[in-house]
Amino acid sequence: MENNKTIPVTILTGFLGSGKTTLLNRILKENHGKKIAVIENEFGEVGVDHELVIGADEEIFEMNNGCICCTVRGDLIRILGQLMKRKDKFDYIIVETTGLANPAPVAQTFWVDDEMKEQMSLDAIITVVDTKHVWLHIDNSSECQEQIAFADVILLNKIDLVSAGELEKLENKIQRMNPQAKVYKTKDADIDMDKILNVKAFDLNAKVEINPGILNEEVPFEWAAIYELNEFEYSLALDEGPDPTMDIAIVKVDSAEENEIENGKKLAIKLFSEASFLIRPQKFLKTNNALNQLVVDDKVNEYKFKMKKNGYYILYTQHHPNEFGMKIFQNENLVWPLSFREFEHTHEHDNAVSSVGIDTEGELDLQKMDEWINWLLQNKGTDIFRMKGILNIKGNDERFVFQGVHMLFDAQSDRKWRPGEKRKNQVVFIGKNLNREEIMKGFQSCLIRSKEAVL
Amino acid sequence: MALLKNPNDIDNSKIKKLVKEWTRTKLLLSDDVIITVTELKCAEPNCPDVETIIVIYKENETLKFKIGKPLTYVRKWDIDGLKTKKN
Repeated sequence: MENNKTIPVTILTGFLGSGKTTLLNRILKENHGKKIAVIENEFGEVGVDHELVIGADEEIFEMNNGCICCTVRGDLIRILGQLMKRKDKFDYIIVETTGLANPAPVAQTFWVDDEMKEQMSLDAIITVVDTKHVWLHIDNSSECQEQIAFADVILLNKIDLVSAGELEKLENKIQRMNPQAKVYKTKDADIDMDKILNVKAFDLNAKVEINPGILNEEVPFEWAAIYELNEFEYSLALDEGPDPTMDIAIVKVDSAEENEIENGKKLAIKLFSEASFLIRPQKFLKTNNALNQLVVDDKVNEYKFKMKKNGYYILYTQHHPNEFGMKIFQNENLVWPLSFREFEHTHEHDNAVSSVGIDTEGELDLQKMDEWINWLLQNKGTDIFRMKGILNIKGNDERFVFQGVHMLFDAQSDRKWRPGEKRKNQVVFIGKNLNREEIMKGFQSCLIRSKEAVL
Repeated sequence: MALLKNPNDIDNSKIKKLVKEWTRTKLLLSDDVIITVTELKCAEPNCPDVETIIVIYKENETLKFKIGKPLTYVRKWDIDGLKTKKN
């Protein structure tokens, strides 16, 4: 989206009183030698003293009927158009939005027109958060959630007003909502300029880094149990359940201690994000750190498995086994787990902002990925605020990078995979009502399965 | 429209410039008026897959026109018909 000739634009968001204007004044006073134009539509408690402050009146313009993905800021388009005519007089633009603004129309304004793109490039969205008062809004204000979700850089400001414990709680919450943003803690919005200006967050030619935030609390399985298993054959029986398939990952562990379930969680999450082995009744499950997708197509279904070594194993199951009447037998004797744990299912706050991270090896089928992303954006584009990814496309020796705001999208190959580098797919989606399971499955369906994987 | 094939790689800039020129001439707009031309994929039923949206940002008024086809296929006669399609 950017080349050397374009003027960078930073969007500054945050609630009134968060310290936005303090930050803006710092930027303007800093001796960086840049001539900055400020477009402001909120006059806060602190005035901005600058020769090029332009008032804006937040005219949200819908390019299409009522879809947030197609809204732009009409006032900004006018102002920017006029500014471009006096281009030689400044070299950076900052757009300060009102505390109640949704950042999407502002960001989308910079995608809407070629001429705009030729002359300006969106650098980053910066959100200033009042660490003390944000708790009044963070769970019930969609504007507050959107500002956090859209941000590339988040300043947790006014840290002198809260305890270390409160700050940590807030930081964890914000990281779960938006693992991709760089978070800095500040007092009086005091921060190095190079952390907030020329960040190049939207520039696919800059070094693209993804933090899928895979270790957040949501897990793609509902139950896990430790079994002591030996080298003899077992059978696993499932009745009909709420889903035509049931995913099960088997992970080897060293002991029967209950904390092994927690220790194995990270590997299990990874396995659940990878291509699964399709297992029909009467077939054998993969038992060495693999994800099995059991086809449940009859009233009673029986599958087999056999361990290579005696020892302790954890079964992580997509659904609670009670939903499928799951039983494990050896020679017609029931095998009971030594211990088990239930995981809270992921739909605790249906409309809350969250993120879904994917971090997996494997090659992607470009056409399938293209169709899936197309489908996802057509159907969920309104709820997906930001997305960013690095992909390993089959037949392409270069990393494929993409990023977008709602349905607007930039994508390109960036650099060659280095010799010995793990060719990983890393994607993060940030938005509301995100269905982790659906996104994970959709992504998995684009991975190329090895011949062995389809039994 | 294949999204992963970067939409920006498809060079529509010439036709975009032409569409802007035709619009400016047809509606007698001065050079100060900003015109944007955008291709949108609409998810709504009964809408064409890809539409071209022309927006005219006058000083006190914003006008929007939709042409029900991709930008590549927009021709001068589509712009000549704009007056009757004004939203």
